Amino acid sequence: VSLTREEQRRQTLRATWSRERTFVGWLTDVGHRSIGIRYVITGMTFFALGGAAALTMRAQLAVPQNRLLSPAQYDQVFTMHGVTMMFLFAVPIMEGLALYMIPLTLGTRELSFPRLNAFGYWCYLIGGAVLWASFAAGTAPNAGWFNYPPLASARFDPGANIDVYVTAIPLLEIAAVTAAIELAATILSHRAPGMNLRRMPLYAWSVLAMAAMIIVAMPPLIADCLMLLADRNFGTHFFDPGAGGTPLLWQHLFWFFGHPEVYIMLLPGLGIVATIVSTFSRRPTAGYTLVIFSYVAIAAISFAVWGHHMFATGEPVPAMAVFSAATVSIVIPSGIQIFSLLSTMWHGRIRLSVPLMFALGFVFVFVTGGLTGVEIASIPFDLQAHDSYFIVAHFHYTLLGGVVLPFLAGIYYWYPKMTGRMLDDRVGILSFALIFLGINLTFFPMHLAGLTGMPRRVYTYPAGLGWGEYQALATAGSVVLAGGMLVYLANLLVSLRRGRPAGDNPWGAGTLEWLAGSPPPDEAFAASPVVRSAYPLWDADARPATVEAIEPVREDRRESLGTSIVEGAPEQRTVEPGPSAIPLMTSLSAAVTVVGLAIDPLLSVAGMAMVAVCVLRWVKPLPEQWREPDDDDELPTSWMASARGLISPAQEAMIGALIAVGSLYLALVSGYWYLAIVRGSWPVPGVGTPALGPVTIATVLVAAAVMAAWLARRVHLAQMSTAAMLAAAAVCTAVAIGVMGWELGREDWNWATNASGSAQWALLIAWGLISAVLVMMTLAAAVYAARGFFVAERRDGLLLCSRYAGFTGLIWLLCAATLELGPRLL
Amino acid sequence: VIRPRAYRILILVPLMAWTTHVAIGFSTVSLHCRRGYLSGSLLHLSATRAALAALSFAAAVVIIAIAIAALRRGRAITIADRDTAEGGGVVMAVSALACCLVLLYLVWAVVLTSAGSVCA
Repeated sequence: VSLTREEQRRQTLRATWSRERTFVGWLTDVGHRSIGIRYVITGMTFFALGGAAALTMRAQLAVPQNRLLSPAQYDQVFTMHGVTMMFLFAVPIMEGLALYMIPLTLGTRELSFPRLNAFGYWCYLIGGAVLWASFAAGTAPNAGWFNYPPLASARFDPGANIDVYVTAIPLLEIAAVTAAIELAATILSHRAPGMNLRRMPLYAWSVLAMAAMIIVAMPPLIADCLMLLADRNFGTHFFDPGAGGTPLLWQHLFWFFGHPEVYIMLLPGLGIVATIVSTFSRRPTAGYTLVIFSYVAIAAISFAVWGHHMFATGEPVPAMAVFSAATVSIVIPSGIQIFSLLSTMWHGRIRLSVPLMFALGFVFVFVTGGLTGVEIASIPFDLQAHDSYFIVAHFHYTLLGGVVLPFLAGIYYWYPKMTGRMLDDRVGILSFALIFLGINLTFFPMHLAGLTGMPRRVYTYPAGLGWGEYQALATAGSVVLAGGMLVYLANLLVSLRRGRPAGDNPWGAGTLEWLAGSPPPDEAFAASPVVRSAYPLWDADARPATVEAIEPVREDRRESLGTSIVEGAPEQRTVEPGPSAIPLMTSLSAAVTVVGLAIDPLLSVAGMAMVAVCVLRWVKPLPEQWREPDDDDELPTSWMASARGLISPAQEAMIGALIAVGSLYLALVSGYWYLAIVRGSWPVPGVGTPALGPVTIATVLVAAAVMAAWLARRVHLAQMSTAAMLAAAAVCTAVAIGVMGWELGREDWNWATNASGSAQWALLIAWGLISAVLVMMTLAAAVYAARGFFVAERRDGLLLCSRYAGFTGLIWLLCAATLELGPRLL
Repeated sequence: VIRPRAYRILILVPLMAWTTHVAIGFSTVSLHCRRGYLSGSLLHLSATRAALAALSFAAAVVIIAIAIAALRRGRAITIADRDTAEGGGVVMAVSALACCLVLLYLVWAVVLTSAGSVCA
């Protein structure tokens, strides 16, 4: 049988993107849909575990003076409930859904960095497994999900519980940041042709805002955890008031992460709800530009409100008032969201389906939580309600409304796309009714318990204070809520086999994911759809429209189309790597590095060496990168892009990574200045500052390294000169690290002397690690340069080295200025 | 295709204004209350409050300038090439709206920081 040319092309395309369906294939798979669905399933498993912890707490609190759990057990249960829901469920599951759906909604076949995607998943799985294994062993974290010192210090919590927290959380945060970087890079440069920023789906906008927030917000928590780990295991004094530290430093850094975390979870939910309301109202979302503004504004304001969690810490009121003002400001973009949804429905032709019911449930529950949020943004009210059950009620309304209901709505909405089957609507309505009733029955009475004075985080309470009825109602509500969740889950499982076939676009939606098959084939789209509106599958009256398609990429390898950031114009082709074991190996090595810190520093060093080996293997160029000068004048491959003045996905990822590392370093610098301001004298007596001589020598060496890396990227240099320049950059950086190491070694104070010593060592060690990466990067590039890899058209790697060198230079300036100016200014 | 690269960063200014303003405001009050900086007075107004007001005023001036630039650039883009550059237009519109929200925040922050004792 002879095949037409088009059929041959499709067969080749399918073979190129096909996945190996074996156990080894499963371990090495890097496809966005496989990894996305793993995130979702793993997240739902953790959700079930966290839910079981919640039910246990509810059983304990159902009656006064209950003895089901001991105080120590209750501490672990409520901490694991919070840690699981915040770190193992809400963020990963929203990211997982985005990892699955975003390429489809953008009309592309794959994420920008599939291996990074797999690496993040394995880090997440390992981090979650460590946490729950510790629970099984009876050594789970037990100081609340926010883990405040001094309660979490070695003095008051000497067991392994807190060490589990401070090692597992950085792994989970690394996973979240890697997913965020690839989501942002994909949304910015892997869209269908013609999808400019004004035609981008609102869901993609919401995920972009979430990703940007994760990249900035999560690294400070990593810094915070590592500081607490050092306090507990290496004798530093960041949070020790007796030696110049302060526990409030933890709270500042934690909440700089913690409040954006709430919006990180909420934003994708807003995007899901906007998508569903639009589809079932049969009209585009009202106020598209205003909705985008609200996403961006929510993301930005969330970084300015961390202080509202600290109104009761005794900081001066005018200092806290700016946080109060910023918190109140968030009402405006949040209000825009709600009015946009209402307006879309008001002017639309509503079809009341189950996903829309969950979306409407979001409006009610989230607005209720938002209104109490406005109340506690006021300092006087917050001082009354602080640490009471009123706060528990507030944030559960916000999170169940803003995260759980939109997530359930999104799964219900996209389930036909993921599986090719429809869910049973009668069962869906039952599950929604139970969940909605359960949420309100569980959490509304908590407002009243809180207003009558019941504190949170108590394992039991005396009878006769009027709290028993509220707690009994809440426990009954939690059983109803759990029942609703079980019905929902049963619907998902049963419909997998018994659901009726869905077809490609069962809801008649307007966005691109519904153009792919249900479930999407491995290659997702037969060709790249061309986009001319924000709802490409709809005409002006929301009726089905035809979509043009083009195929400017090769079908015999995993190529995707790279587009410009603002206009969505095709400008390059990116080649995606296939299955690989490297992500799994790298994540295991990273886990050894982080967990080793709490067990034996040598183990951590071994882990770092393993990470270095894995990364060197990871960045090894693909075979086609060596041989291909370029075969397309119009659309260069991504590794040729920078030679034409374009931004390659690798450069975008580098920018994302630098922002993340910069955020981590700024957290350390802010910690230094905070300690310096709140102490009466700085440095704390007993500690000096690094001598100016070595600091000056290091400055000269760092400047030389930056210059050498910059010169190396000049294309007129011969290959060996390029290699020599890169090697020179590596040597200068290594010597600079050595000089500062020698300087610290000869001082008569160290990290354990007092908080000043701890802060200075932290800044220098972090700079040393950042610089060590530059040494490795430039040495590897030098080897490739000597082997003739870099030519005028192919120098993306040199640009990356040069940019990273510039970044390390900036970090050094910040470090040196802080260390030398801090004591002189204060 | 119009590529207003320099103007795209306009959006970052209002977004960073919130965090920068609260961080500097918080640090100013902390330096006064913990280390005694800015203890004088200016026209019967405490120097700390005057510094906070000046900070808010300076931020407002920058934000208004950014808003005007974003609006002008947004109009120019839209008129020049409605189809291909509408992605740039949305960035400018969001920048201008963000500026308006920051201005509201600044006004409210001045009101809140004017009440009560500085180191209460």
